[in-house]
Amino acid sequence: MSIVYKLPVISFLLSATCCIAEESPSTLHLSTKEVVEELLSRSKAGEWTGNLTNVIARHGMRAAEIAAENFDEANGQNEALCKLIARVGRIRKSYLATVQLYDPAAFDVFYTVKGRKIQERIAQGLGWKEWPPSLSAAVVRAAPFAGLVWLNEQSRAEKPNWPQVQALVTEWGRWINDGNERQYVHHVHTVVASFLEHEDLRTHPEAQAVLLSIVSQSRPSGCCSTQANAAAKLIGMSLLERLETTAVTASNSSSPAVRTQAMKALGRLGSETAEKAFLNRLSEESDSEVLVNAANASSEFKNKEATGNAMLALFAREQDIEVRKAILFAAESADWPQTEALLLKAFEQPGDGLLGVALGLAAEHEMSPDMKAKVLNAGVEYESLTPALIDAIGRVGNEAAAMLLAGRLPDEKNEAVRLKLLLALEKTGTEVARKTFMRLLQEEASPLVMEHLIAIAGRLRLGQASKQLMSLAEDPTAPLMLRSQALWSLGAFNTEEVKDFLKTYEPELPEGIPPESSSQVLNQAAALAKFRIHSKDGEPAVQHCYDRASPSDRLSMLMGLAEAGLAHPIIAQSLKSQEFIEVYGAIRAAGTLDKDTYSAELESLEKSILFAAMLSLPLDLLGLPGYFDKARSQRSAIK
Amino acid sequence: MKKNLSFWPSFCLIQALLSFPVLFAHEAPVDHLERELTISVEGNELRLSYRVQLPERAVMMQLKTMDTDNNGLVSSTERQTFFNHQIARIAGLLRISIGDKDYTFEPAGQVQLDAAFGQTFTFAMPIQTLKGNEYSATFSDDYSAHSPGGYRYVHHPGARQVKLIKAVQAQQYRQHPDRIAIRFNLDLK
Repeated sequence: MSIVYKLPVISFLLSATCCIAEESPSTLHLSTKEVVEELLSRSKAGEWTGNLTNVIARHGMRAAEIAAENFDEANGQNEALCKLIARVGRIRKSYLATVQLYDPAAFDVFYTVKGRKIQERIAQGLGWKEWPPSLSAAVVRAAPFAGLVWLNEQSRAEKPNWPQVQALVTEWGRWINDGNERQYVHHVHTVVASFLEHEDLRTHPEAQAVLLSIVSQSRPSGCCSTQANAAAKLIGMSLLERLETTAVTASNSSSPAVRTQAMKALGRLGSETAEKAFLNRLSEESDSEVLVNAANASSEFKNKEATGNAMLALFAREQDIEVRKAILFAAESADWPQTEALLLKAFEQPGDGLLGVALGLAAEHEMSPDMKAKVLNAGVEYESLTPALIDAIGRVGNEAAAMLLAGRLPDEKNEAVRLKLLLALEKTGTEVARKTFMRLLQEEASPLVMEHLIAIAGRLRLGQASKQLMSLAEDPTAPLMLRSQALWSLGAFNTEEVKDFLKTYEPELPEGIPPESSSQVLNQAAALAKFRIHSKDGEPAVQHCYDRASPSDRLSMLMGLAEAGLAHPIIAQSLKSQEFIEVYGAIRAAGTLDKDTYSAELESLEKSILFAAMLSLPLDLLGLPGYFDKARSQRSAIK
Repeated sequence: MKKNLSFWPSFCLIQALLSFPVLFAHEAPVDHLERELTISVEGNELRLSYRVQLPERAVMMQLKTMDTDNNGLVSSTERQTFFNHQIARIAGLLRISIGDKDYTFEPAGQVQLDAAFGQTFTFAMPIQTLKGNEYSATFSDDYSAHSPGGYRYVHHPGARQVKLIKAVQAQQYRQHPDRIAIRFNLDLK
């Protein structure tokens, strides 16, 4: 819990506001029309308009509508107007109900037939000879239907305007790749397929590469098992076959740029046909750029044996270091049966950073005795240990590995490296490691390293450390972080002495920190420790702290329960919370339990349309979809 | 002679990762709300315009709470019910002291939503009995301690009776303000 348990203190910091500023109200009180006029006036005068962006964002699509009324092919304001429209059009990536609530004008433009008229006005620039640079972004975000109409017209033309098609399709590919497209993924792929089948494309390899890149850029939303399934789900089977046919043909193009995108597209499509074409091309390909991209795209094919063999052969024949690194990086996620063979080959020629990549891969895989010996040998041979090498030695996990890591500690002055060594040493779980930790607990001077040592003492249940931890928890001169970490770690020692200590624990508060905050941090840690050792007053003490805690404090408590694998009513309470971070902590805690305690609450979340919608959006969810899947599958397994 | 590995600089990355607590305090998993407030005298009332701007993740969590019939949409009744509760909750966390007396704000009017995921609440308190004097006043915001974020005071055009003295942090630790308080002069002569 070393980092997790910093959360009470961190959350105390988080309960802070970041800045206080006083702002001129001049632009905040303007009407939508006035804001657009202000933007045009500043743009005309050559002034910077960036500071108006946040103000304009509040006005939403109504500002875009007014901006579109000011378009004129002959005037010099079109780029500023397009930027404005692109800014307010960003709301299209949001969930439908969000758009409806916060920008009803945008909802009308995107989701109603009458809104298409406004889209036409916004997209009028598509007919201009010269496009403002931000026109594509404005159309993709704020006038997608009108943009599709234009693309379809171009796809039917004898001689499409390829540079303009490229510009719009590139922008749309980016939008889709970022997970922002909520309405038209299938439509975009359909029109891309039409372009890829266009007679005139043969003489435009640059446009062909851009169009193919759309196929490899279509990132699925939500949780999907394989890229192939995701592609099928997004694109549809018949369309997929059309795209596949064009990608197979393009993989033999004379243009390396086209072959690069074709290989990426084949990897993304992931079907048997795609794999066959991919491997055929791979055996003949010699362009390094194509090969690097092919290696990156190779990890999702289902036939691990065939792809792994091809990659091993490529690794052996190809001397380009970037290609070799790309193969090792791909091996990390591909799980090919040839991974060990790849690693041994990498150890034969470890130069130019290849060994570092190989060690990173080794640290994630089961190692054979031969491989372990090579890793330990590297640990002896090299003067300084890299993070990947330290991790790999930790993964070896025997006494020899522990001695090697412990032997590096006395001379290591860099705190970051010391911590890395300690965590790798902990992984070995050996007697050498335990003795080293006990010694360091007496000697360590750095508070940061000490905090990690205290956490390790708890995780490894180093019983002899409990006296020191009790003394630290009581010491008002010790850093708050160390005291709270010591309390948490004491919860790992279920002894009478520790129970008695926690029962009567009354923290003496440090000076210089608001007493309310420091007592909250320490009481919370003590309550959780009591709960861990099944003390009678543990459960109500945790509840008492939770009821008074901010969302960030609650997160730290839930993460404590997650680490200890303990159930507590606060998990059910948090699963129903309106605060994201509480739900997040509760899902993580529920996912560690082997009992189906929170079935009803998890089921309620599972059935919530808006919760599911949130998981599918391109938001920073801290890996929540994966944790939610884990908690759900745990529940199903128990049932 | 021991060999040297060429990718030692990657320790910079570890250093950054190990500074996690410090980073964490800023790149928070907790939703930060950007606040903007204006205090003005209008007739016999002191009015507070209080805008919070939510990150989209928090918007989605609120929508989930609003959508009581779980149809994936928010009806006007669901919206009304949610924001009535929300405005009352926030009002309970805002306090103002004028002279030596403490007062609370009452909700005044409907919440205004804007396209930047902003929610503007209006609160008011009667000031008839205070007229004729000049006061020093302090507005304090317990909601900021619960949900952190940036804070801006915006002068209302023509609000000459309210003069901001300064914004202070009621509590402070390692340069991080905890609960925000704003001190201002109130001229009701």
